[in-house]
This record gives sequence, C-alpha cells and structure tokens, in this order.
Amino acid sequence: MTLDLLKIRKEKLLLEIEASNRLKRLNIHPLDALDDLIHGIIELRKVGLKKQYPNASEEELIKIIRDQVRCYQISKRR
Amino acid sequence: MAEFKSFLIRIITILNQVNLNYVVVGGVAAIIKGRMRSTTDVDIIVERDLDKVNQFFDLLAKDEFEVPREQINYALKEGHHLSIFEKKSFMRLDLKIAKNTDEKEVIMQATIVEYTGLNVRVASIEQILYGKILYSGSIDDLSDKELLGFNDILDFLVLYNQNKSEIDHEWLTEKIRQKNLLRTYQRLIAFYLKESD
Repeated sequence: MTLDLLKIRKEKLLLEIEASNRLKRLNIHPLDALDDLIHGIIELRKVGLKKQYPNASEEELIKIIRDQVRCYQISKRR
Repeated sequence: MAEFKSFLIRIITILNQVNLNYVVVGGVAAIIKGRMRSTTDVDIIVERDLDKVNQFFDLLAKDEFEVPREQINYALKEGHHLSIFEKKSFMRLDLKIAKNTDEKEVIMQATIVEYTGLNVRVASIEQILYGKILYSGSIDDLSDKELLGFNDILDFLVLYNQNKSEIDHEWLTEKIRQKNLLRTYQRLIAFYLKESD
C-alpha cells in the first residue's frame, strides 16, 4: 500500500488551520494554548523517562529532556 | 502549568526593566499570528545597546537563567545567537543582538500584542513571512510532498492564508525580490492546500 504523503500532510495542515480558527472563536490566546501544550508534553515525557530511569531526580529528568530538545532543534533545521 | 507563560513573562519584564528595545520573532511570533504548533524556545532580537544588554544579562542571571558569558563577545562580533536556558526547565531563550539592517528593521517594525497584562513586541506579519522565505531559501529542488515536511514552509503557508488580507504585499514582494527569492515566494503563495495534486 502506498501512502499519499502529500494528501496526508495537506489534510493535517488544514486541520491545524481549523483548530487555530476555533481558538480564535473561543477567544483563547494562542500563547495560553501553547502553554497548555508544553505542559502536557513535559508531563508525558517525564512519565516515560521515570519508567526508564526510576531513580532520576526531577532535575536529572529535565536535563535529559533539555538534551533531547537540543538534538531535535539541530535536526529540524533545513 | 504555566512553564512557558512564566518563562516569557519573566524575560519580557526584565527587558522592560532595562528599557532594552526588542522584538519576539520565530516560532512564538508565528504562533501568535495563527500557527498552531509547539516550540521550546523564544527567539528574541534586541537592539545593539551594549550597556543595556549587559544589564539584561545580569538580571537574567539573577533570575535563574544560565547566561553563557563566554559566548557574548562572539555573539556580538559575529552576529550569532546566544542560547540561554532557564536552570529549572528546558525552555530556552535564543537571543540575537541586532547587527544587520534586516534585524534592526524588524525591531523598528514590531507590533504590540497584549498577553496577560503585558505588552509584548512581536514581529509584524510581513517580517515573519519574509523571515520564513529567507530560512527556506531556494526550494526548486523540493517536490510539493517534501515541501510540507519543513516547519518554515508550513509556517509560511498557514500564516499567509490566515493573514492574507492584512499583509502589505508590495513591501513583502520587494524585500523578497532584493534577496532573489521571488521564485520561492511565488511557488508558496500559489500552493493551494485544499487541492490534491
């Protein structure tokens, strides 16, 4: 089965635009939405890392996330 | 909750305290103008006033930010950005000290956005789109499918569509023309999201 990647990516983007318009209609500041999103991502990542490193402190977990974020930042640039 | 909010507010408050002229660019600016996505850094360009910049760094350091003092001279001389982490989180401030004309201009043309009682100086929509075109460069080698794999391209497509009526098209076209990137611009504005190729 071949996936139509272009179609999938376009649909994903259109959904994103719809979500952005919905936020506007609901009068939610985009930075508040970002804050919630980041909080959710960190908490989920911490749960995952805590399973992998049960004895790690909060500071150590943040350091791991920070290093991963740094790697991602490098790889995403064209 | 409020990791990002606290991070941004503390930075803007310190910038205001030292009266250092700045502008928020990059992902945060794109999000404010209508792109729904995540980011882990706040990109800011500040004016080249070294006394104020040093005061800004001093106050950041006092407020639990890790200021890489050893890189400051390099950033000043070469115009590179400085990455400043907050000690207790993974949020990062990417700071540039304005050096070239484009960077000075984006500060001058900043728009004010109100956020939690603070006036935040954010890049204008034209400047954000211009930046996205600059970062994308020539896209002649990319298929449409590949184009949609790049964040800067996605930012451009969404922001252009969301803000079409407010854009100063003449200004934007002229700026892009000066950088010989009109082909990139024309291809992107002709990109119709609803139509399947």
